[in-house]
Amino acid sequence: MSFEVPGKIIEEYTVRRNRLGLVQFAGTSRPVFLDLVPEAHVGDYVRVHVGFATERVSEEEALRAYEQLGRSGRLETAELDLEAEEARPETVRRQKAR
Amino acid sequence: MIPDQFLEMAQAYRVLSGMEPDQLRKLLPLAEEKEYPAGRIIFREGGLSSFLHLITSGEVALEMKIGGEVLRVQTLHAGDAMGWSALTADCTTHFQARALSPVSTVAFAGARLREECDRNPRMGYGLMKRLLELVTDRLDATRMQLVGGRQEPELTRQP
Repeated sequence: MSFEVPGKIIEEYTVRRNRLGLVQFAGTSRPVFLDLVPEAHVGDYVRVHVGFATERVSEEEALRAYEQLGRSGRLETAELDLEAEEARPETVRRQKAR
Repeated sequence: MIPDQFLEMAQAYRVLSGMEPDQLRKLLPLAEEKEYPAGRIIFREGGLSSFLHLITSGEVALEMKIGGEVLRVQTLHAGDAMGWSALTADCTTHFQARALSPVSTVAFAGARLREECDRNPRMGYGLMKRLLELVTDRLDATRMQLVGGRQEPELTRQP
């Protein structure tokens, strides 16, 4: 999964040698590997690509990204997609965050 | 207590999650996520394999045609890889892959992956070692299936 907007780490766990976090995006959350961003912890924002957090970003930058997405109307579309989440959870969860 | 979704994630991404960070940083930009509905043929036997897939969720039947019949060779799950042919020079597939349920994969374009492995032999070697472990597991599993299937009648004949 690759999200256009950064997500916020809301939980953190160590599984074997890996550090994973629950990362919250626009209305959804997903487990993500945090091994590439050792400096990022609960409360921080990260960019995610195919299941891995690849970069920590500042809160200002994250909020700016959400604001731009909202201004373009795509965040609202994403929120509307939430309605269909029960039917196709995996697919919709990814679409809505784009 | 670690929630199940994190344990499942670690298992599903076992090839990538076991790699060194510097190797991952080179590999991840080559990856994209793909999704297939149940019943979709992901690649056909004798066709060209463009992607090496790491299955992150769902089930896939690996099949081959023998005498006009389609035979299931193996069922793949999250954590398994498929599409090895994408790493070979001619990219010709030896099996058909069919999604048994909605399937998600992390897919690497074979040509780009080969180029990157040539450019970064250390990363390439790390990836190949991981993939070889998976192939070994698959061979063992297939052997157990074949041996198990053949021995059963013999075992029942023993006093």
